[in-house]
Amino acid sequence: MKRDAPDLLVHGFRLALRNWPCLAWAYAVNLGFALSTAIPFSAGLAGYLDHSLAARQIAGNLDAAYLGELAILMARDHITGPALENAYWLTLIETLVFVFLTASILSVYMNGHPPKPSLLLRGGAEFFWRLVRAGGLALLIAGPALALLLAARAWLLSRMAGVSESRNLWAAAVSAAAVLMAALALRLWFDLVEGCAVRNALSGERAVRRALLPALVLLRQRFLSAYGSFLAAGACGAAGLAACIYLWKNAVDANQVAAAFVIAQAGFFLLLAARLWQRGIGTVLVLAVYPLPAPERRAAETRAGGPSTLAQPPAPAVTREPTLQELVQKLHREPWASPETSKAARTDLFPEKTPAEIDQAGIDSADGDPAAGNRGAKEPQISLLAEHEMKPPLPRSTDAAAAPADSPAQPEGPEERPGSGLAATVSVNNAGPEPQDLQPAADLSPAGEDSSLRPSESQKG
Amino acid sequence: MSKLIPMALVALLLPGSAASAAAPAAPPPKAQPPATPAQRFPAYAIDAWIDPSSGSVTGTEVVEFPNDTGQPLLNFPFHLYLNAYRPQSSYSQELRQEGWAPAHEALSGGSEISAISAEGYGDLLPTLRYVSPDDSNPDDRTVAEVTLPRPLLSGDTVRFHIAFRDRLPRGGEAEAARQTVLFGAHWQPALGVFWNGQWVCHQHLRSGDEFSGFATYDVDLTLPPAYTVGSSGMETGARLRAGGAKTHRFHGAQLGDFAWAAAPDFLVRDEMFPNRFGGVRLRVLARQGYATGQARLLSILRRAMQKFDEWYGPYPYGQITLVDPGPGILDGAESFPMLLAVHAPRWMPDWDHAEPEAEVVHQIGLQYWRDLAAPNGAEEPWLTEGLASYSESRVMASLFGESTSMLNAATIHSGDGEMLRVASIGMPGYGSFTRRLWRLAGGSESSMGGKTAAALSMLSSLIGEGEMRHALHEYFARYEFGHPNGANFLGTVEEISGRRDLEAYFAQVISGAGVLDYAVESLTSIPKDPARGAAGGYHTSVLLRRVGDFSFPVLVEVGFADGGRRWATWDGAGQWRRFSWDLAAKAVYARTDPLHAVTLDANFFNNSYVLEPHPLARLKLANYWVAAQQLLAQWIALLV
Repeated sequence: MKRDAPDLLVHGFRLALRNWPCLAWAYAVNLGFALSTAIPFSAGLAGYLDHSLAARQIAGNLDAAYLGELAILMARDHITGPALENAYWLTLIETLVFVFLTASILSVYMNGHPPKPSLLLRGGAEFFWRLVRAGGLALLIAGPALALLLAARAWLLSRMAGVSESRNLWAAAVSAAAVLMAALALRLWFDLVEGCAVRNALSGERAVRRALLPALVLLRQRFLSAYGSFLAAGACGAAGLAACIYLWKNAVDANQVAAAFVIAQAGFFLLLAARLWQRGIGTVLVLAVYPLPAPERRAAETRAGGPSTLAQPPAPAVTREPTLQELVQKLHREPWASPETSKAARTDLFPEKTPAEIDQAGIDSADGDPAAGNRGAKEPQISLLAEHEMKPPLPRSTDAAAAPADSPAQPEGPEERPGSGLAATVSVNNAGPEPQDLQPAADLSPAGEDSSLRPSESQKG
Repeated sequence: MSKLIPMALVALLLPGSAASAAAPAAPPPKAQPPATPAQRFPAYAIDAWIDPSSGSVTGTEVVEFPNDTGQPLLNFPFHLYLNAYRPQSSYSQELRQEGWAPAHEALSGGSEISAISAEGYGDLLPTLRYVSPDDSNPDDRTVAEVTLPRPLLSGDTVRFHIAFRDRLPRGGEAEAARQTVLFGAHWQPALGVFWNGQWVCHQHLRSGDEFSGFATYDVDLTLPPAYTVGSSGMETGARLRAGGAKTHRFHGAQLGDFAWAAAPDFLVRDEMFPNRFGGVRLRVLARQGYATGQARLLSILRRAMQKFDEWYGPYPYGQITLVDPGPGILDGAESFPMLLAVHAPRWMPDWDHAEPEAEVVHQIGLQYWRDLAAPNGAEEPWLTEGLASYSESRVMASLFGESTSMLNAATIHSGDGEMLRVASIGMPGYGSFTRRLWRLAGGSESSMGGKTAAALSMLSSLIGEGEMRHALHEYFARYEFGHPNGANFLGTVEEISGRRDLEAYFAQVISGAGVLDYAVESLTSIPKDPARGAAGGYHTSVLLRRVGDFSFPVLVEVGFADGGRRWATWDGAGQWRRFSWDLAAKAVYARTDPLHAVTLDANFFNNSYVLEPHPLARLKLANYWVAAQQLLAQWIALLV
């Protein structure tokens, strides 16, 4: 458990780093919108400042009185109002773009697709409304909670005020910190809700509300590591911004606008990077506990209308030992002998089938209707299958013994980890180029221990 | 070329200055003395019991009024200002008109006279009635009047015996503070001022400052023994009463009011400040837990008192008490005779002098110009708030620097006077200070104070800082306890400065609502001979425009590429004026008011024109805007 937080931090960071174009896009949006709001403001300033000697009081060490006078004049001449109105609407649009971008980023993080613009656009379009709905639902829950906290703080401060300034200051600071911590916890929960919503969507589940409870359960189960990682990443961003402000204040002259701009942008870039780091942490956490099903199974579930949802976690399906019937099916999919000799034999005895056909037809035939499956095929094992169908699952050692000695190490279907039988371990980035890098998948050990991050630990070890 | 602007040009700035300079120097007549100052002061003997738990005061009062008015008097008006803190009062209505929604506790105050009689005249309670001389609001109740059965003859004295009961308003934000700190201001029935042949007893309104008469006070305040009291007057003794209560006895002479503050946890820190009258005891009371600002308060109190003593005259009382009641108690700072109330926030950094330094200096200014000179602040608030703002700006500049007296941080600064000026330009056109209810006309206290401070700073720049200081010193010396008016002030300034032409200036500044704004409309500097180019020299032309309707002589300066400068003056007549020069160098800039003397100018940014644009300031502010916008967007994104 001690390594949970570092693992989340590292994996979240690597996920964000690998998908750095997402950060670049987010920063470009942030800066682009800010510049577009600044243009009318700057144009309004030109009439006052560009040809005035009084501008020196602003260009150098800032004179607050001149700044105040400028603000009064601009407001009187109806320049500030339109500029603020323009900024208001553009900020609103930017917020929507950020939601779209969040959907894109989560889609890329979850799927492991390369963060190409086309894929980002597709992901954003696919999940935008889900995030909007998730945001609405989360707001309905988090809003009252936060309002209650703020009301409690106001009440506390009203009781404390006037007693002692030092105690009052402490009470104000501590209560503000407590409210902030609670707000950040709610934010983390909402991150997980968004992650779960996208994860559900990738599994074919459309109901956004079904992401709320699993995210809460996930947060409760992994609170310390998740919250600690979330705070640490955010603190890194805030520290970066603070360092930039310190640098601007102490190393940049008042009239060095270009240097101030670069330093400010560095600070905002770091702040944004930390936010995407937090998104990465949330994604890793969601997929570690609620891994995405394999692509073919996902497709089958979607077709059958019975997706794997977070409300029905995959654990019962994969924690049991394989039955003999499944082992036989597995043998059917694998070469009987060496690749050279098996091909011709398989062509005669077992016509080629797709994995989906095997899933459907193979098991159906095992249920006592051999003619519906491989009619005419000579398959003596099938007759034995009925006898063993209701027997308890074989022990793990039997699994190894039942497999042919020359069976390939990497069977089709989900990646199999040594010692876990058919209990599929789904990589976090199972469709990505380096799926083994992010392996905080659910531990599906025979004993059913809940140690979702252990596999990656074992990999590291 | 000398960088000094010929000071002779400065003399041209004032209207009629040429005539003044040419006229033979005649000894200026002395300013008129105040109108009929009272020779004897009324006397108040008050015995009050204060119940901290309920915030009530029960008291008896003996008011002795010597009739030195020169005429018989039949009616006697009394202030009952605590009734302003009732929901039906005019004060509360003004609050609501201004958009304030005072808390229920803030409007829970009140004062009522339960018995009133006069020796030799009998019971006067049946004659008691509430009057509203200012707005005719029958529910105001901040002024009550009694009628004697027969007139009080000139030279006679009447002694009123009054029993009253107060509910102190609990305006503090914090319940705990409301239950701890008690403030008694305008708390006892007090006579109006007989001034210029009639009673002046204004209602308590937000739209005017107080106007109180001077009196002698002997006050007994009885409180629980744990309470420490800071007050007007000086404590002359204390004794325990039956039941464990403690009575504090105070005496004060020639006070405009008697106010007090009490709390069980006041810490007292004091020191002596020597002056011509022997010394003033500076006393700072801060509550336990708020003592960190006590040293800062005492320091600024001492430094400011020293400046006021040096510049404007000695403080006549033997003690001044500064009370820090903690946060959430005061609506800004307060000043009463010999008593100030200012909170020093613990978190305020040293480079920010807005609190408490500027507030303390301003309140001391009110001590001098309102409580000691005591003009009719209800009708001429510029003589109280305005002069206090001006003296604040000068004292603050002297103590902390002209351009750093309000803020002095690494990246930002500002001067107290500059900030007052900015406050005044926020509401142009509302500048007449001579009308009553000026605040309801759209102005504000800071706007009025700021405009007066800017106007006097402008006058000071033109007649000289020393002359202005001398004029204020003389005004205070002549009219201390004298209820002066605006004409007295103007006469004193004219006399001291030697100028007889300030009336037109004051008429525009004080009585008028005109806006002063001069602009450099355009600047061109082109080769005289296009064929020869720069070698043929340049024709430079400057177009000045008077944007506002306030006419005033103005100086214009043009700077050239070779470092040379040229000056010209414009008397402000007409709407515009063009100046031209044919010189070898190309012009770089033109500006009006190079001495920064015209502080009433409503727009400093159009006072100059630089030929080559320099976008640095614009880019700097645009950079701030971009940064703020990015941060805001990221914060909002954090919420969704």
